[in-house]
Amino acid sequence: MRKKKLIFVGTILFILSMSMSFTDVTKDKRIRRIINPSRQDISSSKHSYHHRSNRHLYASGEVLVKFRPTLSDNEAEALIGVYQSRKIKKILGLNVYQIQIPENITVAEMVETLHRNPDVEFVEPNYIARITATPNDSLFQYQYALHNTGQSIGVPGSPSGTERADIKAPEGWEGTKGTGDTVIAILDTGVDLLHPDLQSKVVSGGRDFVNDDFDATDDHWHGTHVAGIAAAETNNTEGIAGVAWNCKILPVKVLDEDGQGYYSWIAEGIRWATDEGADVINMSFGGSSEASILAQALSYAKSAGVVCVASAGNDDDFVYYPAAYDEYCLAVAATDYDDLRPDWSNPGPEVDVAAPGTRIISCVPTWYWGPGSLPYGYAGGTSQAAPHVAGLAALIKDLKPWLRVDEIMDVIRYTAEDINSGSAPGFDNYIGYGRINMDTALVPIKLTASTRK
Amino acid sequence: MNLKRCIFIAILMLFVFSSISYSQVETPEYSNSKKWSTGLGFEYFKSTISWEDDSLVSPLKSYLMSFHINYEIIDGLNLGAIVGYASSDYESLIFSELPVSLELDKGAIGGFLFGGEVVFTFYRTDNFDVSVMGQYIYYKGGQKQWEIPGLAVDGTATGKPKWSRVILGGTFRFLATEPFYPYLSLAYSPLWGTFSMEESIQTLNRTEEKKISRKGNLLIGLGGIYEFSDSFSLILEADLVPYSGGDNYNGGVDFGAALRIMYSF
Repeated sequence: MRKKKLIFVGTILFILSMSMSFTDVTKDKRIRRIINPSRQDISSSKHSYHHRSNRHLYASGEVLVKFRPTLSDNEAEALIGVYQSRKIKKILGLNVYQIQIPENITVAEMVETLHRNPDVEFVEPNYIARITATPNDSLFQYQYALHNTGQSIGVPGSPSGTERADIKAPEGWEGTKGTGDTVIAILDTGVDLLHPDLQSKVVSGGRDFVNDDFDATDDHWHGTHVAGIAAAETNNTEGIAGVAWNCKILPVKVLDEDGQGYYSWIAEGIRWATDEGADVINMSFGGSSEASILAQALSYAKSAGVVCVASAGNDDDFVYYPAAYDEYCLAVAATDYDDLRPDWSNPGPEVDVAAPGTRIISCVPTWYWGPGSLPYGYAGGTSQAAPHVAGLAALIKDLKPWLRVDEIMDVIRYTAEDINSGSAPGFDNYIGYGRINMDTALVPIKLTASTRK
Repeated sequence: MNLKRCIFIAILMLFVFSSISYSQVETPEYSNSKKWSTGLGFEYFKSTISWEDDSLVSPLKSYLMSFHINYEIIDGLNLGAIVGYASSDYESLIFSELPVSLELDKGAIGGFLFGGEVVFTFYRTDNFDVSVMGQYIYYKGGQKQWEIPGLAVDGTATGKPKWSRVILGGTFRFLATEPFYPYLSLAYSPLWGTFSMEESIQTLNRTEEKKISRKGNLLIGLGGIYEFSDSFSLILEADLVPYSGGDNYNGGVDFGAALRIMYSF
């Protein structure tokens, strides 16, 4: 009597444990596999598919499966039925079945379950492809600096770039596009406040230290060009995309209509921008002389949490000031559309990073070309390289406002891509740590088993 | 569906137990006068853990190997100590507060575990007994290092996990099927902990500690004790932990399995 009961209880337990499917012991019983998928593996797959964003990565309720050629169509469809699934269609030429799975099983579970069937060549979710965060600005295709597809650089007949010789902006924008709370002060010749690609990004009329008023309108073109690179209005179907997609611009005019300015104007401009709440200051200019007034202004900005970025210079000479103030400023050298350093980019131990600075398309003042022309143009120099870095600094600051200025500067340095590692591995005087990389700087880096020490 | 299955299984088991106990006519001989017992345990569990204010979840898989020593201080009241080794595999943890954000894609980390348990059998008949039990396990993982790929300079990340698990609940054990005693338990079983990730890239040094907690707290255990002899017994248990879904993820059922070989003396 007792033995019978023991056998009975044992049988019940066995059935239950099988239904809870700790393991699938029978290799050839397909029905069991579909009903009892192994949850331990499935769940992990499910989460890894879904956890990174709210967006679906694959179609729900269906999978794609290809059976081995030894299976006839009838057998394949019968097998689909065994899994309580329904054929949606067979993709001709590929012999892949798109099948609808039962409601009580997840895609990941079905993938895991079918994967164990020896008659299945492959099975996978019906993934959804999307364009990356590519803006719809009409001239974005010419912005090799942000996304280099090996396209022609400029008008027909221009040289073509090298694919991926860029700062990986679309990938970086997957990490963040910034918010309107982060402000980049453009210390330059001013900014065209009415430019269609800048108008909505400018936080105020700014400050003009040349004419000592509060109208930092650009009477050159340089400041407008620089501002556009850093933070032109993005995804507005016209013009260019700015590096700092959603960040704002504070125009500060410290250079006159000839592109020159006194250190006193610059120092005042740094201080004013800092007090106005700028998060990043871009200075696409340089002087050959060191000066305490500049150093002290930069120190003031840094102590207030402002990241300062400056261009190294275009004379193949030493690094100019303020870029040469290593402690306070990121000094930016230039690269081109092939990730090579142009020979005019100033070298020196103060160079921190490089960014594209050859044939860069950006905004010019609306009056510049005259009526009937689009207010955009090409320019080159470390002046064009620096605002790429300023834009990245703004995005980092926006994403991680708790980081100190030194840390943001180091993130930009250390996440750079050592593009001349073949000839000058590691830090060098030409491009510093390398060309900036928005992907590495803004998107989490994966630690995998292969990177384990 | 998973929850329904759990309920179905639980009801079925209760039905099976009660139907057997109802027809039980012989007195069980389940009794053990020995005060001490010691043994080895093996356990696997997969937990769905939530983090960052429950907005994201990821799986935690753990393998535990433990040494147990128990002492019955008074009739029905057992105290036990647990020490051992555990390997915990965290997946898809994102550390976004570090200067350079990191995502732990996969990585089992070994470490020590310590704990204790208490079991008090407060009601016993010839056919079944009912007890309450509490168990606490603390896992402290060792340090694990990764090289951070894709940087212009060398950088390392050092991960240090730890978690605690509590099981507080009751067990209904069927005694009439000597030498095999099936049981069903229902317990409140939270699991919580932290994963500390230290990033070191030249002058950049920061640590981010991420708090984790298991989504489900209700544990349904189904197991059995098989007594080979007066001294040796084998305990097998399967656990289910259902959890509800959130904004970005679906609900489901976590599961675990445990095996323990005990020697009484």
